[in-house]
Amino acid sequence: MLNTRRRVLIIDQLATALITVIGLSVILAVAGMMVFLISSSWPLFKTEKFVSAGRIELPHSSSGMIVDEIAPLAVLLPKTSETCVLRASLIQQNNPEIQNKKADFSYQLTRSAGQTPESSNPWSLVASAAKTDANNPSEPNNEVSCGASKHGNLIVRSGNSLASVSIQIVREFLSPEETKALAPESRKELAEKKWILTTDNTVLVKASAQSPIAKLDLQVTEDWAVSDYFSQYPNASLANVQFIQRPGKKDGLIVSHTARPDNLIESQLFLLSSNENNLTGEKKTELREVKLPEPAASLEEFEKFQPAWIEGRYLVVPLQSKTFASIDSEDANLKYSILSVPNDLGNLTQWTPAFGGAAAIAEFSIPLNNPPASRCAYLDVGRATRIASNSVGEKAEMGVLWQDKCKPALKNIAHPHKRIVFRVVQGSSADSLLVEARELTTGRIAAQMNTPTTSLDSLKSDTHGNLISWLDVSQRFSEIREFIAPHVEVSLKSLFEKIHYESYENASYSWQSTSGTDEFQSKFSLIPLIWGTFKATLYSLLFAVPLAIFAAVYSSEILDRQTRNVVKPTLEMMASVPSVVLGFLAAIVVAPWIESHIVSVLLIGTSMPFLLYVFGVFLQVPSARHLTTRGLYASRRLLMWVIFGFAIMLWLLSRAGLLIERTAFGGDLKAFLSGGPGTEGVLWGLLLLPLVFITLWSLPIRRARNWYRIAVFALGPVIAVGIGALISGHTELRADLLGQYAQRNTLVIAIAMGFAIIPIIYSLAEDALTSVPNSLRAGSLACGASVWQTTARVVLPTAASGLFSAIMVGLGRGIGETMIAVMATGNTAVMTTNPFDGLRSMAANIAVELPEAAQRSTHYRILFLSALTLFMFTFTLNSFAEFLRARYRARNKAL
Amino acid sequence: MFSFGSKQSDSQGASQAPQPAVLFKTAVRIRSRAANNATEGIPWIWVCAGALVTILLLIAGLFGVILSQGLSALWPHQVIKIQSENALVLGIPMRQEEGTDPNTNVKQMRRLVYQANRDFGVNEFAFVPVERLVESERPKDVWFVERREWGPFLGRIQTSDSNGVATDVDSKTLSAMLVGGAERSKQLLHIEKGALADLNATMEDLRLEKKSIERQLEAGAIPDDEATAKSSNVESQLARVSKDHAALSTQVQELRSVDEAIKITLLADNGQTKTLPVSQILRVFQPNSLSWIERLGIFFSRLWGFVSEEPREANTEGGVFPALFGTVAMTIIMTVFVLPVGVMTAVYMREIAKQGVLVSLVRIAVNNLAGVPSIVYGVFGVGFFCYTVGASIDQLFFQEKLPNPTFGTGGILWASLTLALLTVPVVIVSTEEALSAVPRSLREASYGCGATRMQTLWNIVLPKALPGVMTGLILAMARAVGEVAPLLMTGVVKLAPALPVDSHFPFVHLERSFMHLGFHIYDLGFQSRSTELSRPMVFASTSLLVAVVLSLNFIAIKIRSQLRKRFEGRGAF
Repeated sequence: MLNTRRRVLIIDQLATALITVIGLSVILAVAGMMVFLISSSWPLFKTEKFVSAGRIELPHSSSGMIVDEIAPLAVLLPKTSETCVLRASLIQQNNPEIQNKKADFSYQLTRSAGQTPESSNPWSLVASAAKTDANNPSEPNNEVSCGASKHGNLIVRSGNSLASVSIQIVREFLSPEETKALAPESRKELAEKKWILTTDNTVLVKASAQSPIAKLDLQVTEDWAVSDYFSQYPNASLANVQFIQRPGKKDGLIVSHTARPDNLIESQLFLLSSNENNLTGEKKTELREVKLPEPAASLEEFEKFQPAWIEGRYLVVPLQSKTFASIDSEDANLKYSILSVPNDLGNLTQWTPAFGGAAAIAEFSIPLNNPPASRCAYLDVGRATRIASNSVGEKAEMGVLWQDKCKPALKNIAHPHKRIVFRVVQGSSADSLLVEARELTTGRIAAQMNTPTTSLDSLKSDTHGNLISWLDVSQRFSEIREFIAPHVEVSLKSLFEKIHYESYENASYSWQSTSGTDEFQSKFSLIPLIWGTFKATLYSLLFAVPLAIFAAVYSSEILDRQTRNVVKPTLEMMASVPSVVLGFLAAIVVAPWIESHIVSVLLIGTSMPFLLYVFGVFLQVPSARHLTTRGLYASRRLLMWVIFGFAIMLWLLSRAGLLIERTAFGGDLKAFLSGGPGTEGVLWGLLLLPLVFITLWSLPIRRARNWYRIAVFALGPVIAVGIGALISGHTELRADLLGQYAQRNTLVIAIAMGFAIIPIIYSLAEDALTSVPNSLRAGSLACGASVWQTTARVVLPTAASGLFSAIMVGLGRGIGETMIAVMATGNTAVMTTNPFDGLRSMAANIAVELPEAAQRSTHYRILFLSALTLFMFTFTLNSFAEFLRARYRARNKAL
Repeated sequence: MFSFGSKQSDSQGASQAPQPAVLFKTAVRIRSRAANNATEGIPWIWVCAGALVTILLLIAGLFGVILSQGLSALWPHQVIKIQSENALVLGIPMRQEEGTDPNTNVKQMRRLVYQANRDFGVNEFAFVPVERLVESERPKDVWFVERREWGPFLGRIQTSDSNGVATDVDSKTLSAMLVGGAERSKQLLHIEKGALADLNATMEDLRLEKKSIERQLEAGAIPDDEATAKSSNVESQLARVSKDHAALSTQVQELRSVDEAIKITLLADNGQTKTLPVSQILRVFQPNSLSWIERLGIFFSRLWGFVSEEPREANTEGGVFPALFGTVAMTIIMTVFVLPVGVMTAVYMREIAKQGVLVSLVRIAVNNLAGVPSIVYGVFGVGFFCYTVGASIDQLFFQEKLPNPTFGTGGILWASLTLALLTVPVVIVSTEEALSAVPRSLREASYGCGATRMQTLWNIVLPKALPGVMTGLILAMARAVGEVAPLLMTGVVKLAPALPVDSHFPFVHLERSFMHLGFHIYDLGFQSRSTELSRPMVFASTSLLVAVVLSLNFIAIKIRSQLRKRFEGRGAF
C-alpha cells in the first residue's frame, strides 16, 4: 500500500515536471524563433571596422601584396628596382603562438638562359638565402629587372624584351607517401590546426579536416612578352612603363612615358592584345599604338587619375586637359570618344576608378576654403561611355551618382571587386593619418581608423578586399589591417531610400539581387517588395471584404439555421484548400480566362452589386415579403431567386462585356492598353460605374420620384461613359493610371488570394455577428423595424469591432500568403498601382530566392530580414485583432 | 426587369389580354412594391445574398474544375481522325479556345487535339477549327499505347515474323506478349532495386569506413599497425562485395538482352515506324472500340497506377507514388513530434501553470503564431534546423561524408520539424479548448476519490478531451499536407532518387530529401517544360491533394460536432 503510494507520487511529480519542461520549452521555442531571425539578420547592421591583422617586419616598400587564404603568409612584390626580389613573410600577429614563429623568404625572379621552347615556362623563382638583408641584395641580377606592378603581376625587363609575369601562391598537394614521410609531430599538429610551419621552413596547410595536406609554394607564369620592345623604343625605361590589365584577360594597356630629345615627357599608349591559339598553344602578341586627340596625362597625373577598363572593352585614360578618352578596343581603328567630368563641382584633383571602372570616385577641390576641403563625387563612367560611343558628337559628361563633402585624400585606392574606396586623409592632429573606408553605392563612410604615422607609402589592398596594407615610412614596417565588412553594401539607406545606381538615369527603389557577373551592383531596396506585398493584399481585400462581410451578414442574420449549418462549414472548409492549388488554378485557369474576358470581368465586378440591388427594388419575390430573422423557408427561397438572377446577369454581363470590347476597343483591350486603338472614355466609364451609381443614388431626389430610380440604372452607364469621355480629354488613363497588361497580374491575384482570405474573414465575422445578443434584435424588431433595419442599425454597429478584427486577420493572411503570390503574380518587382501589372511580394521573394542564396551571404541575411519583418508585422496585427476581439467579447457579455 | 415583374403579375391574374387599365394597375403595383422594398431594405438583402451566392459559385467552380479536369486526365478518351488543311490529324480532342489562324489572321474557335507520337516526327498538339469537327471520324482500329519512354503512341501495332514481314497484331497475342514483358521487367526491377541496391549501399558504407580509418590514422588517434589491419580487412570485404556486384550485373545484362530480343513495331499514321522491346509498353487499348464497362476498367486501372507508380518523363506521366509517400511520411513524422509536445504544452498551460496575466499573454502569443506566414517558418527551418543543428550533427557524426552534407541540408526530418512548429499552435489551441470543456465536477470527483493530479489527468480528463485533441491533430495534419512554402527550402525536391523509407539499415532515412504532392503540383504547373503536356498530371495530382485535405477536414468537423453533441448532452455535470 505504502509502496504504491510512493510510486504514484513519484510518477506524479515526474510527469508534472516533464509537462512543465516541455510546456515551457515550447513557449521558449516560440520566443527563440524570433530571436533566431533577429540574430540572423542583425549582422547586416553591424558597424564595419578595421582590425589589426599584424605586420610584416620587412623594411620594404611594396607595390603589391598577395596573401594566402588560410596561412598568414604574405608576399610583397618589389617596387621598380634593378633586382627583382620578392619577399614572403609570415604576418606577425598579436597571437603569441604565431609571434614566436618567424619565417622570411626571399626569392629572385630569373629567366632561364638559352632557347627554351615557347610553350614551356622560362621564368622561375630562385630562393635566395633566407637571411638576405633587404637593404643589401645579395647578388645584383643584371638580366631581369622589375617594373611597376599591380596585385599579382610584375612588369619585368629581360634584355630587350618587356614581359608581364603573374605570381601566385599555389598549393602543392602532398602524395600519400610524402604525407607518411612527414614528422609525426607535424602530422599531429596539422590534425588540430589549419596551417603549420615545419622545422625546414615550409608552410603546410589543410583547408578542412577532410582535405589533404598541401605545401605552399610560389608560382610564376608569363602573361605576355614583347621580345623587341626595348630595341623598338630605345628611349623607354622600365621605371616609366605602366601596365593596366584588362579584367579577366592577360593583356591590356601599356603606358610608356618617355623623355623626348627636347626634355619633354611624352606619354605613349599601346594596346597589347594577346591571343592564345587553343590548339597549338601558340601565343600571338600584338602591340597597337593608341592615337588620341590631345596628349595623354603625365606620369604623376597617371597616379592621380588612374585609367580603367570598362566591360573589358572600353579603355578610359586621362588626358592633359582633365578630361578622359574612352577607347573602344574592339574597334579596328581604336575609335575614341571624350568623357568629361561635371565642371560645376570644382577643380578635379583625383580620380579613382572603382569596380572595374564602371564608376569612379572623383575628388574636386573646393576653392577658397580653409581648412582645405574637397568634394567627393561618385561618377557614372559606364553610362557616359555608352552614351558617348553611340552619340554623334562622341562626347558625354559623366553623371553624378552622389556627392559629399570630404577631406582631401593623400592616397586613394578602390578595391577591384567590392564597391569600397580606402582613402588616407589628414587626421585630427598633424602627426596622425586617418584611413577611411567609403562604401560607394550610398557614399557612406563605413569605417575609420587612426594611424599614428605621419607618412604612409604603398597603400595596397589584397584581391579579396579584406586586407589593406601600407608601409609605415617612419618606422619601417608594413602594417596590415583587416577590413571586416561582410555586408558593407547594406545600410538603412540602401534598404529603404532611393539610390542612384550605376547605369541608371535616376535615383530609384530597386530590387535586383542576383546576376551572372561579379561586377553587378546588387540592388537591395525592400521598398518594391513591401509595395508589392501591400498592393496584392489591398487589392485582394477589396475583392474579399465586401463579399465575406455581406455573406456573413446574410448567413448570420437572414439564413435559417438549417441551411446555415451546411453553408458555414462548407465555407470554412474552403479555408483548408491548399494555397498551392489556388495559386496553380489562378495561374493556369483564371489568368488566361481573365485575359480573354477582361472587359466582362470589369463589368461584372463594377455593376453586379447594383444589378442585384435593382432586382431587390423591383422584384416582388414572394419570399421577401415573409422574410423574418433567420426564418426557415423564406431565406432559402430568396437564395434560390438570387442564384437564378445571378446566373442570368452573369451570362448577360459577360456577353455585354464581349460586345463592349468588340465595339469600343477593337476586340482587344490588351492591345488598347499597350497603345492600340480604342475609346478611352468607355474604359473610364467602366471604372467610374460604381461611383456614378452611388452618387446618383444618394442624391436627395431619389425619395421623391420612383421613375428616378429607373432612370439611374438606365442612364447610369451612359452618364459614366460621358464623364469618362470628358475626363479622358484631360488625363491619359493608359499612361497615368493603367498600363500594359501582363497575363499574371494583380487582378488575378486579387481574386485568388481573395478566395483564400474570404473564409477567414467570413468565419470570424459570422461569429462576431452571431454573438450579438438576441435581446437586441428582439427589441429592434418589436419597435417595428424591418429585418434589414435591425441588421444595419443594431446588429452591425454592435459587431463592428468584431468585424474589424476579422478584416485585420484577413489582412495578416494576405500579407504572408506565399504560393499564390509566387505562382500568379509574375514576380516582377515594379512599383505601380496598375491592377493589370505584376508585382513581387516579400513572401514570394523569399520563396523564390532563399533556396538559391548562399548561406550567410548578404542576400541570405536580407531575406532573413524580410522574414523577420513579415513575422513582426503579422504578429502585431494578429495581437491587435485579438485584443479587439477580447474587448468585443467582454462588451457583449456586459450587454 | 420590368417584363420580369409584369410576367409574374400576369401569371397571377390569369391569361388576360393586356389592356390599358391593367397596364396602369401593374405600374402602380410595381411602384408601390418598389417603395416598400426599398424602405424595408430588401435590396440590401439581395446584395448580401448575392455575396453568399458569389462565394458558393466560386467554390463550386473551383471543385468543378479540379474534379472534372482531374478525372478526365485518367479517362480513356476517344480518338478522332480528321483531314485538316495541311495534314491528317489523329488524336484526342481536348479543350476549345479562341485563337488566331496563323495563315489567314482570322479569329476562330478551335479545338486542341493531342496527337501524341512525340518521337514520330509529329507535332504533339494540333489545332482544328471547331466547324470542321463534324467531318471527323472515329477509326475503330487505332491503338493507344502507353510507353515507358517518349510518351503515349497512337497508331497501329505490328509484329514481324522471321522473314521480316510485318503483320498487324491481334489483341490476344498482344496481351500475352505484354504479360510476358511485364513479368520480365518486374524481375529486372526486383534485382536492380533489391540485391543490387543492397550491394551498392554496402560498398558505400565500406568506402566511408576506409576514409574514417585514414582520417584517424592522420590524426594519430590509432597506431599505424592497427590501422593497416583494419583497412586491409575493409579492403577484403570491399573486394568480395565488388565481386558479387559484378556477378549480379552480368545476370542483369543477360536478362536485359533476352528482354530486348522480343520486339514489337509501332506504325504511326504518317508511315513512320519504331521497333521497341515489348517490356517498354505498359498498357494498350483501342479507345474507339471500348464499351463503357471496359472504359471504366481502364479508368480505375489508371487511377490505381496513378497512386501506386513512380513518375516517368520528367513527372509528366506515370504516377505520384513517391510524392504521396513523401507527403504521408512527412505528416506522420510531424505528428510524432507535434502530438505529445502540443498536448503537453496545452496541459501545462491549462492544468499546471498558474492562471494569470503571463499565461494569458502566452496563450495570445500561441494563438497568433497560427497567423504567422508559413514562409517565415520555412526561413527559420532552413536557418536553424538545416544550417545550424544539421551542420553540427554532420560535424559530430558524419565527418567522413563532409564536405557533402548529410543532415546539414534540407531533409524530411527538418521539413517535418518545421511543419511541426507551424502546426503546434493548432494542436495547443484545440487541446486547450477541449480541456476547458471537461467539466470541473469530473476532476473534483476524481480528486475526491484520492487520485493524484496525473491520475486524474490521465484517466479522467484526457480521455474526455481526446476527441478535441484528435480534431486539432487532424486539422494540423490537413494544414501540413497542403503547405508548400516552408518545404521549398527545407528539403523537398522535384524528383527524389530514393524513398525516405527502404530496406537498408537504418530503414528510415530522416536525412533524405523527399517528394511532396503540393510541391509536385507547383513544380509541374509552374516550372515544367510544357504546361500543356503536364496539364493532365497536375490536375490529377491537384484532385488527389484536395481530396486528401478535404477528407481530413471533413473527419475533423465530424469529430467536433460529435464532441459538441456529447458535451451538450452532459450539461448536468
